[in-house]
Parts: sequence; C-alpha cells; structure tokens
Amino acid sequence: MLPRRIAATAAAAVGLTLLLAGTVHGQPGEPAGRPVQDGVCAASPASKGGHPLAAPGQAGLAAVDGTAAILVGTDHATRALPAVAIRGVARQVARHPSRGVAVIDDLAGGDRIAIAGPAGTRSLPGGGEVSDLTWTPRGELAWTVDARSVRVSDVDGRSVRAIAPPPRTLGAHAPTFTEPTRLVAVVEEAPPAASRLPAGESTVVNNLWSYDQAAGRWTRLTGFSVAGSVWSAIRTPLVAPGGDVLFVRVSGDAYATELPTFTLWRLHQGLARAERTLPGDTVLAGWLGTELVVNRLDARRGAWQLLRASGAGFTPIGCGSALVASTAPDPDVNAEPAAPAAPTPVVEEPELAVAIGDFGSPAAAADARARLADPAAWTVAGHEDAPYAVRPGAWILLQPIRPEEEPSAQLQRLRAAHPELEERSFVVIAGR
Amino acid sequence: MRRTLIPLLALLSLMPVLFGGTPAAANAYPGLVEATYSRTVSPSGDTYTLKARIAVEVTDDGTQGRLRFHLQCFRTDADTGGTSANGCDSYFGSGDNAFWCSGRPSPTSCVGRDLDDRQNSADETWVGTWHSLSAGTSYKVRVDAFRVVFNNGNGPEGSWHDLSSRVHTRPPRRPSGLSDLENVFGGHCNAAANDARAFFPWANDSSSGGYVYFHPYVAGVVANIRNKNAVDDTDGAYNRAVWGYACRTIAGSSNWSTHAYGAAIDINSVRNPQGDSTWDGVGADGHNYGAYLPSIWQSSLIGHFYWGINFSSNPDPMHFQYVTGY
Repeated sequence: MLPRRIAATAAAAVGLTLLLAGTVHGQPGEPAGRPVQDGVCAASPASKGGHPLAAPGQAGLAAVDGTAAILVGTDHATRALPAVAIRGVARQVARHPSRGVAVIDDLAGGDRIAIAGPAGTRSLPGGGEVSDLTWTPRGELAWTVDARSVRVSDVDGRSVRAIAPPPRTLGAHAPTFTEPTRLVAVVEEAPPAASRLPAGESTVVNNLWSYDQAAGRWTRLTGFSVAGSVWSAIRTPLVAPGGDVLFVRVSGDAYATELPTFTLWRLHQGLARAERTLPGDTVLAGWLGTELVVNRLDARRGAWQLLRASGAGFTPIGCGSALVASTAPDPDVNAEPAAPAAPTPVVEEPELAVAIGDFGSPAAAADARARLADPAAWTVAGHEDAPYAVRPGAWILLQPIRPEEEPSAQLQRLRAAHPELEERSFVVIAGR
Repeated sequence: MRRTLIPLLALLSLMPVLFGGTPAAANAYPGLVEATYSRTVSPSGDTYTLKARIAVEVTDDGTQGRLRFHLQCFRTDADTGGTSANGCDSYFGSGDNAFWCSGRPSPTSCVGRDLDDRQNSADETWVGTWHSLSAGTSYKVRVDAFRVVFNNGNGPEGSWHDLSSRVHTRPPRRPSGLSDLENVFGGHCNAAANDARAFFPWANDSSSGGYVYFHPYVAGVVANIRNKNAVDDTDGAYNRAVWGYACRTIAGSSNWSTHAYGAAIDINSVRNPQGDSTWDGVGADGHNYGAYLPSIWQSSLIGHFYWGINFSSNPDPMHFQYVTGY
C-alpha cells in the first residue's frame, strides 16, 4: 500500500464532549489599536509602533505582533509594551504585573532574554535556542533551551537552575507552573516500538509530566501513545483559574496529506479529557480575566491571530503570538555561507514523467494501460528502465512530461480523467 | 569548396571551464559542449584542428544568461609533432545562425542572430545579448553553419558544422520565510506535497530501498541529483536513512516542519543526526565519500537546497530544505 492518504473531508474528532462550529465572527466596534479587519493579520503590521503605551500594571495579554511587543487589554484594545532593547528578533514576550516585561531576543546562535522592569533593563544568556518564556508564581523566569530542557532563573540571573528532562526521554519544554515550585511541562518521549516514525526534528509522541522542584522528581500525567505513522504532540499547556491545566493535543498521520486534528484538553485532578475540537493551527494564548484566548496561525500570511474563545465560537480580538514563537524569519536559518563547489555540478534537463503504479508484473501494468483513455501514450517500465521511478520487482506506466507543460498540470489532467488513480499517480524521474 | 574534416566530438564534463577572453569571474557555463574537428593534409602531413565550445553563460546569481561561443585553431607540425595556434578566418552561414532557445520544460522557442565573420585570429569568442532567466524554464543555445579557413584564410578550408549546448534549467525560485513557503508550495500537508517520488537506496531506513516523496516543485532538482548519482555510480554514498514528505510539527514548537510541505529531504540520517556540526560521508558500502552528497544537494546550479548544517543554533547535517528564513 502506498504511504499516502488524501482526505476529502476533515477528520472527525474522537472522544469530544463539545464540538464548536469554529466560525469566526467579526468584532463590532473595534477598540483603539491595530484593527483586525475580517480577522486578518499580517506578518508585517502596517501599524507597527503606532499603539498607545500600556499603563504599568494594566491587565492584559502580552504578545509579539510582527516584531513589536504588545498588550491586548481586557477591553480588547491593543497597546504597546515598554520598549525592550532587542538585537535580533523579538520571538516571544512574557509579562509580569510587577516584575516587568521579558522578551526572547532571537539571535543567530544562542539567544538572550531581555528584561525591562522597575529595576531597569538587563539581559540573561539563554543558554541556546530559547522558547516558552514564562514567569513563575514567585516572579522568576522559566524557559526552554533547545526544545529539550527547562531553566528557571531569578531576574538577575544569579540563580539559574537547569531541569533535565525525565530519564529515557528526549526532552522537556513549555513549562507552566501549577504551584510556586511545581511545574507541568511537555515531554518529548522516545518513539515506541510500534512507531514507524523517526525521532529527530519532529515530534513522535508527547505527554504531560509534572516536576517537583523540591524533590527533583518527574511524574507522568497523561498516557498518549502512538503507532505506525501516527504522531501526537502537546502544545501550549496553560494553567486555568482553579488549577486545572488546559492544553492542545495535535495528532495526525505523518504520511497523509490531511491536516492533523487540534483538540483542547483539560487535565483535572490527574485525569485528562478532551473538551473541544479546535480549528486547525489553533493553540492556547492565555487568559484575559476569565476569557480564554487562543492563537490561530494564518500561515499564508505568516501571522498569528488572537481570538477570544467562547461557547459560540471564536472572535478575533487582535494580532500577535503569546505562548508560541512569532513567525518572523529565523536568524539561525538566514546565515548561509557560500556553497562549496560541487566536484562536477550537474545541469541536465530533468527527465520527468507522470507514473501510474506500482504493479506486480509487466502484464498487470499492460492491463491497466489498456483501460486508460490514451493507452498509446504510456509505456510499461520496470526498475531496469527507470531506476529512480520504480523499485526493483515492481512496474509502472510512464508518460513523459509534454513540452510546455508543468509536471503538476499533467498529473492533474490524468487524475481528472481517471479519479481512481488519485493515489496511484506521481511525478517521477524517468531518466537512468 | 567543402571538405569533410574528421569530427572528434567530445562532450566535456560540466565544470565551469573558462572560454577565451575574460568573462566575469563568477559566471558559470552550464550546458557546456566542446567539439574538436581535425584533419591531416597532404603532402605536408600537418594536422589542422578546430576546437569549438558553446554554452549558456549564466551570471553568478543565476538571473541572466546569454550565448557564448568560442573557436580556437591549431596546427600540429608533422615533422616536429609540436602544436601551435594557427590564425584562421571564421565564417558563418548567411542569415540567422546563432540561436537562444527557451521553454518550459523544453527550450523549443528560439530567437536568432547573425554572428559576424572574423579574420586572422586563432582564438575568437562570440557572445549574445543577456536574457533574463525565469525559474523553472529551460534554456539552450546553438550555432548553425560555422567553419574556418586555416592559415589566415589561405587554406585548408574546414567543413561546415553545427553545435548545440546542453540544456540549462534555471532552478525554481526558493522561497524565504513562512508565508512565501506556504504560497510557493501550498499549505502544509496539502495534497500536492507528496505528489512526486523517487526510489532511493536506504529510503525510510530500508536497506532494500524505497520511495521518498516530495513536492513536484522540486522534482527537477531531485532529478538532477539522482542523475548525478547515476553518472558517478555513487548510490553507495547513501546510507541510513533517507526521508522526504512528513506532515509533522517541529519538536517543541508549533512550527510546521519543512517536510510537511514536501520541501525537504533528509539523507544519511543515522550517521548525521540533528545536533552534529560535521558531515559523516561514509556510505552504505563503507567507503567515505566525503562531502559528495551535500555538495550535489546544495550546488547552486541545480537548485541550491539550504543545508541544515548551517542552522547556527542547532545544526542538522542530514537536512536539506528548499526554503530559507524558516
């Protein structure tokens, strides 16, 4: 069976107690600050720097909008946070009512944390690639290094504690504090034997664990598991009023071409249960009083949108990312030295073709060809004929890409004529 | 009078060989073809040789291209065996005789010009006008009906020849940043993201090989890489494990992996895990191929993949992606 699956409809969520319509409603009477026109945000806000300054101690949700640190107030108005000296890219912001504003300063190489508060401005070395910046109940700063370990520090950096992930796991990230010395974090676990997915840059399976700083002990809180090519991630754990932990579970099939499911979960007294299906690319952002605010990625525009969640759906209230990283270009990826000269650079006209397959024998391929609308345009090929298009022991039907036609266009024309070949047709390399 | 010389056609490797004259230092010459025509005349027994080279000359940024055609004349003395430059007159057929051809995917649309005849020179270069190169479009140049008369026009006379370059395809534009990536490749996990495939040794960690899936947008780039492997007979350079399309988020992040767009391929993953700052080139056959694979994956002439080893905070030597800034 081919490792590809194309879904015609969105997958149904499993075990949900409440389904939301997921519609986005316009916000009448938009408050001062950056307008959210039809819920559209942009990677480079036109109103950058144009917001009124937030008052000290003003309640609200801090976020990064483009490259600016902003505060969305309980009135949903957007205001600017006090300027923090940034040398690279403002990746994420965390605000404490009395300690001030801390910003991840994303640099090429190790990042730093810039802080502006009543005591002035200072910076802390991040110790690597920094994410998930948050304030603890005791007014300390906590963050993730290289998506693998958690650090907790006072604002002066005099006392920095590194919290290693649980034994035999790959890393811990996204700490959120349920008590002054107890945190809950997402743990990247090693792929189970039933998984066909490699660990590495991408998640295979996450679970929530709690960490008791006094005892130095991790305890597993959830029991998500995966098999085959399915993966399961946890994003943006967030302590709710009352002490429960909300989080978003993202799960999908790595080899399918369908969006994974996003589901809101609640961890209550040690028991995790699914609460709501969320629209795609939706994670938690924080609280505005008792209002839950979520972040939704508009990847086409490269921007995060802030929305108020309610039983009726989601209402846009602003632009920017709160618990997740902003989408500004990563300075770690921009530094590209000149490529060393290849021994013998190859510049050939690519020999591309559309293929149908695989078939178990040349006869089976020929039979399939006879059923096509234009059988004469197709040839039967095996691994010896097209070693990069088909594996040994299998056969395909090949049709060269026609002059003046895009490979994808020719593939789509075939599929339009033969919908049954949707999952058995590809663009391949026809040459030897 | 036309005489038939002995054509000794030699297709050169495609290294950026400098022609006569002094082209811009960083220009490249994809599609370069060289042909050598010789004959021995009697009664002297001297051998006269014409060497012709033709290529698409491309600026170092890959955005401009033009025809470049070069002729050199030599005489090899029968008595001494020595070879020296020989002044010759160069002639072209009447009307348009030099052509710049373009098209997608094949360069079938041509524009012509008339190259000028030149006298008394052993080494001459002709260049066309610069053309803008479009991503994904193929280009080729050719010269029809050229010949030389050796000894500064006093004979012997060469035959008429035609010569074409190989095809140069400008790589598709490499997007920068998330929104550009989404707009060029379509959304993450979209239906086209695994519409192209190639058979790779050690694909998906299988020693018997398998399919690696990717977006058709980079199919031509991958095709050239596989062609290069074929030319060099170096499939043994691949080792565990080669990966392509995967609809997954980056560990510890809400960002989508570039694999979710079919815009990235991991190669020799086990020997080159994320976090390593150097490349291990030992292939499945035990031979150390050095940087052979990274070199062909990142060559600017075939598509310029961004190599993850250059991530400044967390290098990923197995990883090659067709996007920057993300």
